[in-house]
Amino acid sequence: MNDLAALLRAEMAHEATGSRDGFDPAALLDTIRRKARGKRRVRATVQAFGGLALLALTGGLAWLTLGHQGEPVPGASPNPSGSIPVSPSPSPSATPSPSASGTIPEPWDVPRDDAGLPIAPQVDDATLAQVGPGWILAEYTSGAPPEGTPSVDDTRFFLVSPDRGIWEVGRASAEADMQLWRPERHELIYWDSDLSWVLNLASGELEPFADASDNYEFLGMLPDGREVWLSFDTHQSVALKGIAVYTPGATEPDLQFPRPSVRTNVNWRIYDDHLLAIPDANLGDAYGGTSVWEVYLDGSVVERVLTLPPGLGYCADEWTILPGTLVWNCSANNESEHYTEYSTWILSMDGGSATEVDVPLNFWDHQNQVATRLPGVDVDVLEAGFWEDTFPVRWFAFELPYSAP
Amino acid sequence: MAQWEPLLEEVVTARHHDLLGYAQMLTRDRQEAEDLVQTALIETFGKPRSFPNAIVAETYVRKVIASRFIDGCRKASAERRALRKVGATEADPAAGPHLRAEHSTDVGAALAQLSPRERACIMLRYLDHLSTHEVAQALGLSDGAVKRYVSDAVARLNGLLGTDADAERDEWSDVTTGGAP
Repeated sequence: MNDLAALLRAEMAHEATGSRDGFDPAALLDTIRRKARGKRRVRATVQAFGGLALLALTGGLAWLTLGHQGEPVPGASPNPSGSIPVSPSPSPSATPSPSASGTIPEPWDVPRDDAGLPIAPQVDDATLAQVGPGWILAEYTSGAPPEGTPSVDDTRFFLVSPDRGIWEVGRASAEADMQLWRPERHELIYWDSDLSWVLNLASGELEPFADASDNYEFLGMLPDGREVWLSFDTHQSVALKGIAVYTPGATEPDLQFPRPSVRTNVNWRIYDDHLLAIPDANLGDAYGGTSVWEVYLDGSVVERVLTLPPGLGYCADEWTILPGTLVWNCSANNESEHYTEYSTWILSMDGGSATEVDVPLNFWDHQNQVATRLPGVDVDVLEAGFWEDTFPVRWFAFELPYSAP
Repeated sequence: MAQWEPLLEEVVTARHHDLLGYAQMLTRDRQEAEDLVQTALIETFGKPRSFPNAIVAETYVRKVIASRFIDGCRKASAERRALRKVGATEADPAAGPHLRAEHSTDVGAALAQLSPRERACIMLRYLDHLSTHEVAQALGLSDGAVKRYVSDAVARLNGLLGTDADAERDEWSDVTTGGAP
């Protein structure tokens, strides 16, 4: 055998065979799920603003489909729970945002350093005092820098004003992801090295959020402005340890309770004034079932068995659009990899029959759009698809809008 | 769609050994390979992306592995330069990951003689069937640099392994559907 490609394939097979010793897929999956889920949660939160226009569109679509013509459309508040901390909308002139068709504004023209990042002064007290609606907190995390571009191995945070002023407020490791911005308290909370950290933007002081022996991840805000945090054993399993509710800035939680009796691998979201646990995989009659769990702040749990028409295969939970409903995408057969053949259903939390809705192909992918094209970001997720968001991307940027408590 | 966790599970349970094998061919070090695979999986599945199936997802992960491997080599190179600048020494200043391995096969030994960039280019080209342009995009290199790395690497591997690969003859056409950015 003298074919180079064949020799390389054989070598890879040889190396792969040798890699089977001591491999524990469950442990590896736990670690990767946990970290990827944390990153996605943050991104889903910070990109929520960009998805609102489309959500409003679908909210209206769903409303009509359900036969509520003539009644008000829930529109831009598709989730009654407030699980996505939607800010007062930044003014159009202040924060460029995509149109419903997904057009991304031109990048800003500001001086940049060799790594492509904005050259920005450190934030000062006078600037912090001006922060209000229209301001954003942006995170830059490195993509794959082109040849010859200095490699930057950290994550950088910038404060951006409505008139496009920009100030650097802090740096963290390359793995860091911001979770929550408390502008009134000048605090940024970000996740790094399996812990949440509170950075005081005024003093620069950094300290772990809550008990440093646990990893806390921000879930969202309750309607009364209190924050809901999930806690996990640091460096341990993906399994949830407990739930804590904090008044912003308080050092002790208002209340906390251990992991409720629900399935282990679930996604959490705030649902009105309580929580909802939805299995994060294997949804649907043909797989793990159709149960979800409402978890109340007194620790009580109510299981809801949702109804799907027969014949559907694997389902995935997508969003909450109308009160008392969930939206799932389901494949038409039992082959979970056939993602292109799916239908979208609105399920009723009271167990009533599901309603199919016509959603444009790749609609859900458009949630990936960025709301603002920040200076220094050469490419970001623009469209559905695989290749568009690959390489070369010098920086990924995400943003948290100003949101008063 | 957001159905990423079953896909992750499928990639990890069914394809992890191959990914690790792929990474080990690059790093020549088991621990580094494990770290690289984990990093690539988190990066791949930690951002919202659409993969129609596990094969496409695995392909993406492999590109991230190669890219991050090169990033790591850039960083190591910068650190070595910094050490030299301050007059410090390190255990093996010439070593990329490639000189640390014990080579159990001829192919492994031959790969170890390539520079990290040459190795990454060869693997993306001959294992993943990427075109020169696609390799350049994946690794953040210029097309010209990739051509040079592939050509040099092929010549060396032909000499060491007795193969008759031809870098120009073996060029693949772009397979991207929408054109890379």
